Amino acid sequence: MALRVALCGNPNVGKTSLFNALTGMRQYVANWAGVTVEVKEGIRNWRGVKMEFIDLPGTYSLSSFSMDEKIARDYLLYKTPDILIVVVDALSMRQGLYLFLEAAELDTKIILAINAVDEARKQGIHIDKQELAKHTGVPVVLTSAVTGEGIIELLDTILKITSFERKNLQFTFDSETEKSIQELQSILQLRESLRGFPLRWLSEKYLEGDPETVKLIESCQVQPGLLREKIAQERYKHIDLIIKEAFKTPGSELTMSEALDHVLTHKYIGIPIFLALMYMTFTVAFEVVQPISELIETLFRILADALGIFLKNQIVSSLITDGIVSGVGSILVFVPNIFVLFLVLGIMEESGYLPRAAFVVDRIMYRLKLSGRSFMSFLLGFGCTVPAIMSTRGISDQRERIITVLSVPFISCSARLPVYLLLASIFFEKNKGLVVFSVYFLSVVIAMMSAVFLNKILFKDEPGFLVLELPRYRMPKLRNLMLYVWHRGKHFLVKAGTVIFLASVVLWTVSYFPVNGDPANSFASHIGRVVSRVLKPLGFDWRISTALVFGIAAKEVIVSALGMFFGFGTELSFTTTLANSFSPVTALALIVFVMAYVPCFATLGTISAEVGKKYLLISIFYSLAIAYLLAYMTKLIGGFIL
Amino acid sequence: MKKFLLILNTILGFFSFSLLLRTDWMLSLCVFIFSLIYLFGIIDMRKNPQRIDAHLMVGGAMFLIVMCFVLLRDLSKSQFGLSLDHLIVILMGLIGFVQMLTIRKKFR
Repeated sequence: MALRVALCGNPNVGKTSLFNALTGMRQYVANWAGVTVEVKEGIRNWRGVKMEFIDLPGTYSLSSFSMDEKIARDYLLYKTPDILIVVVDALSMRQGLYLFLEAAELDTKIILAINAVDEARKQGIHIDKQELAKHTGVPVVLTSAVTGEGIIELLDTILKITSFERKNLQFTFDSETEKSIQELQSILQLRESLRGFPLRWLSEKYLEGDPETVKLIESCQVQPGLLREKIAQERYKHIDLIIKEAFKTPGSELTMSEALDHVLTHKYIGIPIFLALMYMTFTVAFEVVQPISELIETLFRILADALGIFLKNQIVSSLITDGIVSGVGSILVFVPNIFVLFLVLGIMEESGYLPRAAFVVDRIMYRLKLSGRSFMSFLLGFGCTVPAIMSTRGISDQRERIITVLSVPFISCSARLPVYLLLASIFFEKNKGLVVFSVYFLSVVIAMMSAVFLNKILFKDEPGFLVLELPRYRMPKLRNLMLYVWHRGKHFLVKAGTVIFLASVVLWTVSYFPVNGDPANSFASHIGRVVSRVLKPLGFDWRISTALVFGIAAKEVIVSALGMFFGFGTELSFTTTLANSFSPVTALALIVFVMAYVPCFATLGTISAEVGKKYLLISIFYSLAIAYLLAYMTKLIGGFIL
Repeated sequence: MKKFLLILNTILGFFSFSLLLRTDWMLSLCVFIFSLIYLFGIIDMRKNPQRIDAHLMVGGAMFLIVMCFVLLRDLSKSQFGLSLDHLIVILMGLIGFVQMLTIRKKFR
């Protein structure tokens, strides 16, 4: 049987990096907190012993207020591992040691891993390992997941302590607190239902007012949360003593991070700097890479022409050239833009800048009665809405979580990008970078306004505070960047070969039959004509309406559908037909509608799983209503301007 | 020297902003925002001398990014003729690069 070793620690201390280094796996690692929201497992054989490593979500304490904290806490309590590695950041020891003191009361063997020692050394911090082991009573290993330092020592230490009996040093509080803990412990001892639980730990958690423990213990004559502040104060007093003894820090001049933060999170210019950088990011991704996209487009056109010559059967030829090559090709054309966008965003995220945006925006969010934690989910939403919705598990307030889940789909995910790019490059060629940036900006504004609106309608409450540990700035590593770009961009390639391929075949079938090759009398036109009755005020004809219906499967399909409906039976390229078919105002209204309307199937499934079917239905109708309203307003206002 | 650099960069930044305003208003807005980093450095001057270094370093980095952005965009459009507005941005980027390399050593 494998030895079960769990890794726990504060968010963004490098648990997942350490997990990857220990197991040889390649789990996605980010330079910000809250990325791991579920338990991940990996196997490693070391010196003939099979070890099962478990990467737990980051948590500041073992009291559970948010869902990811609950996952970590429940795992440690109900599936107690053989060995627990508490990972502490060498540059942020105080909070990490607090979690360690809590974990030390659990019934398991503990190793303290001080991670990022290379960074600490660079800042002149000296860590006395022996002194630290003496004060904590557990083996201490200094590690760096980046350089690989201490990994072998950590694996050997795991093997070494398996043969020892559990002997963690127990932290003793002052006599008054100890008396309360022991009194409660003796009450709990009599309860059959609590047999097998670490009773001292439960007593402390009860006296701290941990909601899960209070629920577990149920009725008790002792008041829950009675010693919350006292217990925290005593622990921090002890931690300060450990830090004083085991850590030597240099003088008081500013660190590089402090200097950068002074400007980048500046009260007045922090947000404008962020917006300017985002504008340049989008312009680079869409204008600079355009020649490569055009080259790919030409290659697909040549391929379609060549296949058209070889394939004699009219139906097969149309299926392959008009259906598959044009449908899949119209998406693949945008792959360079998407990869470059993720490369630049990856540099911003890896360097530690992007999480600062959440910090800077927190001031605005608080005024809107939200915490910056919601903004972190919004940021993730730029990639894909599914992980963004899953990341809301980190929001401790259930009401705020629901508001965020309902608002995140308004953030423009990368799947909508090909639609924006296609329409912007046809109708707003000179300002396509600006148009796409504006749509992204608008999507953030709409998401935030939606959050305020829902907050007012559904709940009338004060927001929670943002507890966000800002990651260190660091030079992005090429390997991490490549992983980041690949993880985010690969789903386009996978989708092109699966969902979009299938959708292209279905789309071709419904637009080719029953009248061979006449989309205006096809099945698709019948579907579209029904939907277009509702969408007519927005200027959307049956072709756009059908494309929007199919776009619910995956947003990229809209591009394939437009390619098919506007490309069939004409000598001109579909982009020229598209440009001649409707006005720039309608194109803008369509962009806005796509930005806001019903999320894709995968997102709908995630919403249902995370917050239930009731909110799934609310999300569908709510997003449709907002999209319609926004597109209609764009049409009205745009008619005066454009 | 630091004060002189801050003032010089602020003036150059605003001059570049006014030149770019006619041809590329979004880029000019970015240049304006990054020039504000230097301007706020002048305002911060009395509070903490190390903060001046922070403004010079970050301002330099931002103008280096703007320089790369302008060069990349010109390259993709095959426009190699240098206009005065782009020339100033490139000059500020180069100054920023040197500033950044020199000043970063002053921080832990």
